[in-house]
Amino acid sequence: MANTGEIDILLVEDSDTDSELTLRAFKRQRLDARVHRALDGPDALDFLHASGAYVGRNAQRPPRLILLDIRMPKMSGIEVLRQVRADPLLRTIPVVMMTSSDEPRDVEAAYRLGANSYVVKPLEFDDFIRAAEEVGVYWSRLNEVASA
Amino acid sequence: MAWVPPRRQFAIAGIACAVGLLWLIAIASYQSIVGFEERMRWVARSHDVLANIEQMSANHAQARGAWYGYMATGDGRRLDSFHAASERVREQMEHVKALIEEPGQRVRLLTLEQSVHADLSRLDDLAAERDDNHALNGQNEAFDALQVSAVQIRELRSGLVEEQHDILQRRRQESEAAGTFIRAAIAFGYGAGLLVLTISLLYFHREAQARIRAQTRIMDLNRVLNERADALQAINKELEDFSYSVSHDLRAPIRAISSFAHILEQEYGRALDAEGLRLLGVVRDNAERMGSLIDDLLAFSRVGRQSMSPAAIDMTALVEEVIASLRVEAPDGIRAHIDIGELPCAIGDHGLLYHVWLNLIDNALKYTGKNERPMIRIMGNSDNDWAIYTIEDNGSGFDMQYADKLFEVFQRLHHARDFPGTGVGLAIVKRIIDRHEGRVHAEGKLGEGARFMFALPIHGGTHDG
Repeated sequence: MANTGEIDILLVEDSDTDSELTLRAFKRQRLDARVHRALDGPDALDFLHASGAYVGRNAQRPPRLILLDIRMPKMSGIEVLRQVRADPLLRTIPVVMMTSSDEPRDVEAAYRLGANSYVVKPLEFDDFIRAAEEVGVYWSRLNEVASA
Repeated sequence: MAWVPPRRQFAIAGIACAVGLLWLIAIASYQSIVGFEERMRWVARSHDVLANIEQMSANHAQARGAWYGYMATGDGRRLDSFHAASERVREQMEHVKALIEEPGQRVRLLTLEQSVHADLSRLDDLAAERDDNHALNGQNEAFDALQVSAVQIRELRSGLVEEQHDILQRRRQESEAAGTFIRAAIAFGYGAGLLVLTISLLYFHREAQARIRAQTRIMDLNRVLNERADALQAINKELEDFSYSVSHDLRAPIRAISSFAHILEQEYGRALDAEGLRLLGVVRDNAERMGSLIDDLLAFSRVGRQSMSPAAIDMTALVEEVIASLRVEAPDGIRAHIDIGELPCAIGDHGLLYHVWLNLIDNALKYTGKNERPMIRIMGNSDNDWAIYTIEDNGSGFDMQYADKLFEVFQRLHHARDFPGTGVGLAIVKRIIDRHEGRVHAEGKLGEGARFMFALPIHGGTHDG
């Protein structure tokens, strides 16, 4: 995990456990994507804008994918999504909501604000791995990203 | 004020009576005034009669005076004067005759007329004799007769005048009485009108005040209702936030327990003996069960809060859709034979009714799972008010003794080791059917099977909350 330079996936996740599970799932599927984990919404936005703790980072190439949790301290994932979609430099990055719950109001808000996908983290680890693999492989390898 | 507003119909009847009374008074006043005018005309006529009689008398005296002068002097001018005055007397007599209608007065007047005409004729005759003889010779008898005639005429005239005065007096009295009546009628009319107006105003004032009070009360009640609605909304919001938090925050640690137990088993399984692996399995099973409980509970709570969009629903298609999705999810396919009869259409929320069938069919599949030849029959019929659906199976059934517990949340009639489940599915079914203003019913016999029925109102439930 590099603090500077190019990455493939920005993982925005406040829970260490969930973050570890996701990374383990990627590792188990031999998905050698370069992942940066942001601890919460402001941290993620700083990373994307190369501001705050990330001043000096080369932000020329945005991540190929943002994996975004919804329920986080400081700023909800929905708000992060709103700001990403409002930024002309970031708005084309695929964003996959990865969250614990399928509360209808979250699903609706996410799609309304332009999320590309909405994935509920499965309770079973096998299912979780499958989900992480599918999301990671599809969005970071197969999907063509629009040039910003 | 102790004035109590009368009941509306009494008030209206009272006002109608008062208005009628006012009309009567107005008509009576009008007729009295017309009568008064008539009487005043009669009074004027009496005055006219008296004045004419007076003039007639004066002319008669003048005629006589001229006659005497002529008789004494033989002056032709005096004779002319006599004729002119006589002519005026005759004319006035005609005039007075036209004015008098009372029979008694007419009789007197005709007698007077005869006497006056006779007197004037006699004077005329005597004057003619004077022409022939140039003097009155030995006419003393004739002069005496003239004296008698004059007295007689005066008496007749004064009788007539006196009587006319009586008539005048009577007419005056009648006029005054009519005037008094008119004054009284007008005063009474104004008084009654004012009274009615006052009572009406008072009544409508009270009425308006009562209406204002009622409106104020309605507004107060509305405010209370709104406050309660707001409070309810706040509680609902709290519940929603609670369930939102549950759905996110409770699932995360369970996912962690389940997943890390899994990783432990896979990566360090070799370091554990059989008992250690069994215990790890218990941890995983319970985490999974906890997860299902939370999911089901959230689904149950969501079913109560979710807004409904009722539409006409092809129940046969819906049931087939549910079975197809269950087939996809069942790893070994569905063993049971499912027989679908003709199902009436329903009015309801598609998503919610989908969950009804999903829970009922899933239940039937689960409880027929141990049967050699599992059979599930889905049937429907309808009457004027209800569309009724039945699903029956030949599964493990249940004891009717506990039938009323079946639809309560977390109530189970079987042990989890026999049939896994959380006891929420049928509670969800009941909640959805309740929201459609429908009915649910269950029958069963232990070891022989169960039958679930639900009925939906044909014209659609209206409840949405």
